[in-house]
Amino acid sequence: MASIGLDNIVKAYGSLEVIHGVSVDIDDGDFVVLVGPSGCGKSTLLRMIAGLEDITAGTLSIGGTVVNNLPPKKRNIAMVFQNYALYPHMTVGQNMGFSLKLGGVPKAEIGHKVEAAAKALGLAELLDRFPGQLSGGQRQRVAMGRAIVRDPQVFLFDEPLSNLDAKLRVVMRAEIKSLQASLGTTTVYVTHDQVEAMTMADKIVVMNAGRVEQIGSPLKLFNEPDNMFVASFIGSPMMNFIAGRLTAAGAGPAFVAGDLSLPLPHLPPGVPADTDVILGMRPQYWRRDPAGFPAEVEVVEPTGSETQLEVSMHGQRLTVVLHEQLDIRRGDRVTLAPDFERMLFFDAASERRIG
Amino acid sequence: MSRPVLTLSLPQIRIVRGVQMLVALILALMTVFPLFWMLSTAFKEPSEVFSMTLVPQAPTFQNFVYVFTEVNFLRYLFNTLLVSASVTLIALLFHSMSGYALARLRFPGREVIFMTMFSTFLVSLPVIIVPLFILVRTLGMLNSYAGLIIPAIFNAFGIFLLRQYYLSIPRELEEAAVIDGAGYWRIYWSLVLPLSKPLLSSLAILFFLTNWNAFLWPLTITSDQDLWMVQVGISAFKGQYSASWNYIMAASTVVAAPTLILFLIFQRQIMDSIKTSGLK
Repeated sequence: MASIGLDNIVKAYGSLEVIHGVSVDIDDGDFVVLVGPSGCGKSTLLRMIAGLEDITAGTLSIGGTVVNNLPPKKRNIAMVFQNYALYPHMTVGQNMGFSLKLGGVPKAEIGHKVEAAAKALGLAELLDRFPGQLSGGQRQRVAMGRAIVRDPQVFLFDEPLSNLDAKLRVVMRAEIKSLQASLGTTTVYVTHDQVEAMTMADKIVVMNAGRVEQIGSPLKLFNEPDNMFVASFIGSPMMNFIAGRLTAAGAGPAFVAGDLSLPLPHLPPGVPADTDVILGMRPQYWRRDPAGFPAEVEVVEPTGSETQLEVSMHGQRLTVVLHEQLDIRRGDRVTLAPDFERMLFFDAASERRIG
Repeated sequence: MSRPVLTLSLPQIRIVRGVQMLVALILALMTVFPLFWMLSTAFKEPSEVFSMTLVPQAPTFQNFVYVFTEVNFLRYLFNTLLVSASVTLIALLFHSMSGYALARLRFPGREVIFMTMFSTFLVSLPVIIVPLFILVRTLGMLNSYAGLIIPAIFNAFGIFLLRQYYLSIPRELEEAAVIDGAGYWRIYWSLVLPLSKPLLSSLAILFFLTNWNAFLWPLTITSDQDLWMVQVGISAFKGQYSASWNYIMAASTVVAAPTLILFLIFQRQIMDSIKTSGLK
């Protein structure tokens, strides 16, 4: 177990810089998820931690030791790859014990450790099988077994669940999380799936175009995103954004966007009236209210316990999630009220949150 | 977009199939007939060699007895086996190493080296046989096993095929091995080599058969009969004015036997190698 420090890490391929000075501190035993859209540099960053990519500039330390120039095998890390990367010509047992064999561990001890890991992962019956004879979930477990059998300082996961079906993904998500919790090994996990990030992480690092947008706990990112990118990336369905203006004239403070005028209890602290802003409102923070704003239903998506609606409200298209079953159809009218306390405001120019 | 479909009635399909089978039968007969002729002649008396009968009137083993007793044919077989097996083993080892290096290692001039190797495809043995002979003579390898084996190892075909194959191995597998603590040599030996077993066995068959049937190069550098390979030995049955076809066919039958056995055992790999390489 070890802490990881990334200090102003830069990665460039020739003149093309893809990671622009990333700094992240990962505490001992933390489960940190790097999340972001495709091409944001999260996998490159993980590969730099693993030692599979050179670091152009900056300092990477694991357990207080600078490892910039150490080869992967000297970093005491284990990695689970997206496609599992199991050696097809070796049995499950050989796959799991390969690193120990290379490390010169006595055969009896390898057998003992492999068996213990296999038992913990429910692979004891499969040790003599080849990867080609396993299902996707079993292969995933073998890849994890290969990682834990070494008892590394750090686990690295590179989108390990993206090849599994939705149901198995949920099961494996919980398994990885509970495994990490029981081992207490520092873990860096890369995914593009914000649900995975939210459900698994102690700390999420949101990345975009080679930069860190925000670092924080899942709920902090959900409730207090620093900017519109984080606000839009975290949370499903995506946050609604309405460009408009804050006013304080007439009936009191309000947010005005075209025909839509939402009265506010107060202006966001520190934000003067007549400021161009973008209102951010999560779909979950609307409720049906006879005294609310009229909206026309355009799309209905029932999910059982909830009903997701696409509505048009004074020319603004919004996504709304109502925590109830509704007998409602396209073209129907509903009246909706927002939770004013949950409204977020972003500066229209910089897209940073101002309230 | 739907593709135009040629609809045939059942009798028409039968006619087409019949024609196809007839053509296949003719081609098969054209291929098999020389083999039968070889086998038949191998059991014929010298006087009967040029008769048009496919089945010998008085089958005899004398031709085989002559080949093994009057000529040192067992020695030729041993030489051929030794050279073919050595070339195959050494070539596969070095070809796989250089194929891996050209596919995966980054070093200056890699593409130039590969293209230079690739360009040797354009040059056949007869074109380089004189400079090659001079080179081998200068190295003092005339009339030696080294002279038979070493020049046959250098061949771009295996390197090219293996390089292409190694390019298709997922990089993640090698990265997993790197994380597990493997270096280049360990990755090559424990991962790349076992993974290329199917291609290596196909290449082994191709290399073995090519060297088993080698004629021009062994003929060029070996004057010592103790170093002759089988094809050279067979050609010695032909004089300037006559040829002992019964002995030639008996020897050819003996030489063909191992290749036929190899073919029967490794049919699938041979077909794969032909499909993979696009050559035969």
